Amino acid sequence: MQTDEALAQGIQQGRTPDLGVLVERHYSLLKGYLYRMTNGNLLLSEDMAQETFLRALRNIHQYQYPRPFKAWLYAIATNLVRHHFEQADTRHTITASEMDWHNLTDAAPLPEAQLVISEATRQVTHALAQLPLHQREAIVLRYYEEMPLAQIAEVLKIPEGTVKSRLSIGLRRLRELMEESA
Amino acid sequence: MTAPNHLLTMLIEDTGSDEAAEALISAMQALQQWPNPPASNTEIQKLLHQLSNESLASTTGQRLNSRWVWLILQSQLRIIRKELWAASALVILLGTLVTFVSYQPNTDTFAPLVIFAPVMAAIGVALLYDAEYETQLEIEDATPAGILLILLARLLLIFSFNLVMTLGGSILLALTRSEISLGPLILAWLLPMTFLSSIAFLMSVVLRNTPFSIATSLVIWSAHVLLTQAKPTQAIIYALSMPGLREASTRPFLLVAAALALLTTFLFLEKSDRELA
Repeated sequence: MQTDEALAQGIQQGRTPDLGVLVERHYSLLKGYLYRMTNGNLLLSEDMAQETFLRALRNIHQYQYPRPFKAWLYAIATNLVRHHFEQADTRHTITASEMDWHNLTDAAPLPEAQLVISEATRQVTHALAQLPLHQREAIVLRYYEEMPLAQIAEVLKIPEGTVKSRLSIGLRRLRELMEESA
Repeated sequence: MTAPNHLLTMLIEDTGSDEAAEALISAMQALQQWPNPPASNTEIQKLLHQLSNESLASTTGQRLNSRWVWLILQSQLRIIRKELWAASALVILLGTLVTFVSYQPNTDTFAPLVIFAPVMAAIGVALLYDAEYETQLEIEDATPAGILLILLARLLLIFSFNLVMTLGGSILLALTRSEISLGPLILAWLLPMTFLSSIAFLMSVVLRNTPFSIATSLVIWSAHVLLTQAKPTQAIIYALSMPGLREASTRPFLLVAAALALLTTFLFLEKSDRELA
């Protein structure tokens, strides 16, 4: 089986059918990551996952073989999320912590999107949504995507030490928020 | 989902304390139980279809690139004033003709073609960035090409035209007058033409003053031609004659100066473009 990196290199050389393989491999997980980063907004996470792949194709010449393709793809997705929240902040319409919490808890946008979650999960996701974006990114990549620290550093384009400090501060804050809500 | 022991190890590593890790483990387990949203087949097919269209568009785009450059050149060919082509052609033809008639070998005088060609090219280039700046902006707004690309296309057209015309004149002279050597003749006008044109272009863009940049080119070149002909003995007059414009030893410097002037012009244009945006 060809590695992601070899497939990405193939696309750079014009073997576009390889894209299908990468979509099959990563789409679902990537959408899951975006779903968590957008506080459970199903429609937005779907749009962003699609946009991530489109951007990856448009900028495939920027991918540097043999660096990890997954980290490169997630970096594009993370930039999309950041851009989305920056715009939301600029418009002063909705804050990151408020965003789509109601979607998640009350009215899911589509019937198939109604994902049953336990009370404990609801509490932790609510607390997670209140964290600053940079801490949330690190926690989701580490505890949901189960990425090693080095890969997280590559996705977020920061040193490994900064990832550790974001995780440490983020987890402490998460604990405080959960204790407050309890 | 991560095994509880592994999750605990990760939490201890990240929080730096057993107590904090113990307090967070149930929360992290709950977080991991947050179900993944479904990714339907329709959704994946839709994405694959979009990617396929995008990939097709990008291949077509690459094929269009060279055609696009050609289209820009064609459009600018129509926009550059017709009088400019005619004046350049006329002056260079006259220069060739006068050189043919009056050229005297073994004299240290400038051939008329060498006098006219550089200054004519500089005037043409200075007029590329005319006072009608607003009109240019309109053109820029109406086309996908930026002002940088538009001016580059015009510069290429006008400079190439002068270059080809003067080269043609030089070849004609070398063929018809056996005492004229083609190589030295070309070198006598080529570098001054490049240098003066780049200076004229820089000044017209930075100062937005076409008459002033034309006048500057004329003054530089006239001073050089007239003072050199006068064979100055005084150091100051010799310096004012700018001998570097003619000497073989300074040719590389002239080329570097021309390249720097061009680079500065484009950097200035790019900066203005960004500020406008």
